[in-house]
Amino acid sequence: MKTEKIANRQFSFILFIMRATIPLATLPILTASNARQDAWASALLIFVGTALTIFLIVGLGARFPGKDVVEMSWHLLGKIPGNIISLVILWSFLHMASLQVRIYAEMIIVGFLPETPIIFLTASMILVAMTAAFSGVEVIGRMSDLIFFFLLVMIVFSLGTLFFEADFMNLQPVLSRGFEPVLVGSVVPLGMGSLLLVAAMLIPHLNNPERAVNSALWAMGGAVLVIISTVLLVVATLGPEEGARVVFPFVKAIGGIRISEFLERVEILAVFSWGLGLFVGLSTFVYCGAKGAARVFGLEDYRHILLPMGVIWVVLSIHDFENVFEIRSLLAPEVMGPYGFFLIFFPYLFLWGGYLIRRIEGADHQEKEEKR
Amino acid sequence: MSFIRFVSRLFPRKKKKINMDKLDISQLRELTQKEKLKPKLQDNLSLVREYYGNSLGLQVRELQIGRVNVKAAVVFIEGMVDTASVEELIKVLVINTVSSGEIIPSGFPFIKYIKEKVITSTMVEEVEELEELFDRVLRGDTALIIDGLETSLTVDTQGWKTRDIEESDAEVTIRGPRESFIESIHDNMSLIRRRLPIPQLWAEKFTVGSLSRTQVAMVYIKGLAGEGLIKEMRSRFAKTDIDGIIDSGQLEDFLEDTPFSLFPLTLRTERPDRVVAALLEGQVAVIVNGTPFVLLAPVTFFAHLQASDDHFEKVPLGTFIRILRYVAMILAIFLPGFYVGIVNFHPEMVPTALLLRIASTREGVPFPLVVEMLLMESVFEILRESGIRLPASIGPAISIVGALVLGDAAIRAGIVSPPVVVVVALTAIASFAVPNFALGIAGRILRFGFIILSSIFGLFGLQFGLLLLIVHLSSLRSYGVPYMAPAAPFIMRDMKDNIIRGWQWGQVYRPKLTGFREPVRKDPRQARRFFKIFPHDEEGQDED
Repeated sequence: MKTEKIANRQFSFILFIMRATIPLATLPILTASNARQDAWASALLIFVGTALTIFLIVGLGARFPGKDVVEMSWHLLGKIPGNIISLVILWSFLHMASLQVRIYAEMIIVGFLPETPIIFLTASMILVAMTAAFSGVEVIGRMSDLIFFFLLVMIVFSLGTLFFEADFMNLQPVLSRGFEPVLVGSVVPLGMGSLLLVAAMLIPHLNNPERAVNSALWAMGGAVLVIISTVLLVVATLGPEEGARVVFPFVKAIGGIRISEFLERVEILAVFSWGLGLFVGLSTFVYCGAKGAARVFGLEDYRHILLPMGVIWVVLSIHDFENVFEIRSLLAPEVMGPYGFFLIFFPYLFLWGGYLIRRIEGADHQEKEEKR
Repeated sequence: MSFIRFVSRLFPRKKKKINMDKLDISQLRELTQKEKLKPKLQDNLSLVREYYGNSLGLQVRELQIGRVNVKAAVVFIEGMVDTASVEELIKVLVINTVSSGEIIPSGFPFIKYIKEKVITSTMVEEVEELEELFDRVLRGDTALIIDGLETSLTVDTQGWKTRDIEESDAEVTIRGPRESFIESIHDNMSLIRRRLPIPQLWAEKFTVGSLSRTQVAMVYIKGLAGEGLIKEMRSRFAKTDIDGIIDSGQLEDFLEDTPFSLFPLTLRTERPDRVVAALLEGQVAVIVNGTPFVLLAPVTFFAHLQASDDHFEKVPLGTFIRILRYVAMILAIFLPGFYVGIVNFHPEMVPTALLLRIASTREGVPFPLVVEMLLMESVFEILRESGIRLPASIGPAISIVGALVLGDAAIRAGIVSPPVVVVVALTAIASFAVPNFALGIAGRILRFGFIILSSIFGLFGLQFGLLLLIVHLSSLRSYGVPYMAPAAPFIMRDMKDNIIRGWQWGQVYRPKLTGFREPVRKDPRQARRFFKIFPHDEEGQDED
């Protein structure tokens, strides 16, 4: 079977969209942290942390351009340990995806469709994401091409309108509580950075895998810019106290906008377009998850396990959390921090370890020479 | 042994006569294919008569060729031939061979003599099989069967009535060439060739349809269209097995990549200028005999939303019209669904005054909004469908019934609310702005899906539907070219002629995915000439 290829640009777009749509859903973790009006400083820290994560994940992936993370772990650690490591990564895909589905569904229910049963919404969303995953990574790449520009316009539009509503005095005083809350505030978004693990699955599909680190960094740079400006504007609009209290501060902030007599309550349009971006992320998660699981269990085609995975996913999205407040407790720094770091560092500690040991032993060089 | 053979020769076994009544069409076809021409003239003529079933139109004119007095016959179908050419043929056979007084040199085959020295027609072919003979005679050629020869000649005498080249009804333009294709493949080919008089314009011939034997030509510019594309097209032609093709639409089914899609993956056009423009970008055209619709492949979604005028009007207007068309396409698909979603689920988005207005008009309407909308949309679709089939003389009746009886009376009777009628009318007008009929149909069907989706989830239903649509559109390919190119995958270089229309001198490159064999179209430097702010400054240096 021919490997599907996506351009590095599309890879960047996918990562950008995944990272940039996070603040919509998980903004409370930034604004609700103790940092309050200094949340933007946490966002700055996110960039540094994410860049390190990229070097960790994508950097290793780019050294094995033809292999996804499962094959790489087999290569570096051997079959059984490799599979165990891979399962941790695959679990992160499934869990992140179900978390995002649930948050988006909760947002729809809280904000717009209070009487719709949540399972109806999550199941529909998962079905849509599965359709995209079924069509393959090329389609997800093209989808991201289409949605990226749409999203960009909407980001500029919604943040632009917020700009005129914002009262930047709300951001004062700067760093009044010291640096510690800022540091703590950045823990959870960094933990959510485990979504970057999808890059490890996407690298073998890239046109130009050697430049993957570059593409990923560009994507993260853009995404962090969006996160910072969103946090700044939302906190400035709502004020630090309300920003911390409201469940979905971004929606609340946009909802207050009134452009003219004729154009008000446009938050649905913002949610609508952010949701489009969210689906790119969901499709990527489910694609990578299914692809990796198929690899681990030795299946030819990942499409066969999409449906069972979808069912597990729906169940997980419903039974993982009782309500929206339980999501918030998962996203607390003391929970999400260690969890996210475990998902990233546990596999990659071993993988890098394996790589370095092989490097020192010179096994790779021998293999290369044997191939020649 | 030799005795038995001698006796059997004395009593020749009577040839079994074929009972045509008992054979089915495929058996008959097989039989025809096996049959070869015989040396005796009368045998051949009876063979032709037998297989043709002595149907209407078969003309057999027996004659003797000139001074050598060889018996011969010309066979043709009346109505398919140009009578003057047949007369000319008979004349040269009967008279010219006499008057020239030439003696056939010994050793010079008679058939070669006839072919090379007697017949003056432009096209003469030798045939040896009955099938081949029929193939030509039934296309308007005249067969010359000569006594004593197993080879006969077919002479091109085609001449039947065709429609004049007129303006297209379906693809009207304000500015630009008026000619459109007709049903004859040769006339169509000449329409294209007149615009591209280069030998590199190649047209590969195919015969499709086991019974209709339809002539199909695959036209491309050699060296510009991708060889992979041409090979793929050829292989799809080879796989096409059908008994008859009447229109290129039937062939389209065989040539498409994804048969389950609503969206057209080849572009049908009646306009030669459109075809030539496509050929210049490395696409391939398929001309089918008997239909004015020519297929173009590979095509993209955006190509369906373009009309030829865009390129002939000035740039600002061309761009404006295009953007207008995109907006219209979006309205035609989403507007009714959007309205249903907004009013049912998100009334806070509607300005209060308007919301009150809508609510007051909806008072007393017995149906939910969705039902109302689906009802009116269906009525409109029925109206449109019935309008197409009606003769022009009673066409206006439909518009009266549609506008007055259904529109006005339905509102007065309180069955539907006026805003719904406004939305449906707006959608209808918008859908007419889509220049391509096939794409318009896709939009019409999708509209119903979006109404139902947004009646369930509100705008989020619209979102789910939109995503499914995006996934579907992104997964489509037309001969390997992604359907949404150049938007997805994003190709900056090709954006100059899709959503906007750039200046001609700026369109330096051919589309990346079809015209990749020679991407540069014209001198890129000429653009500089147009960018001079003060053109008179350098006038002295200009050589011309």
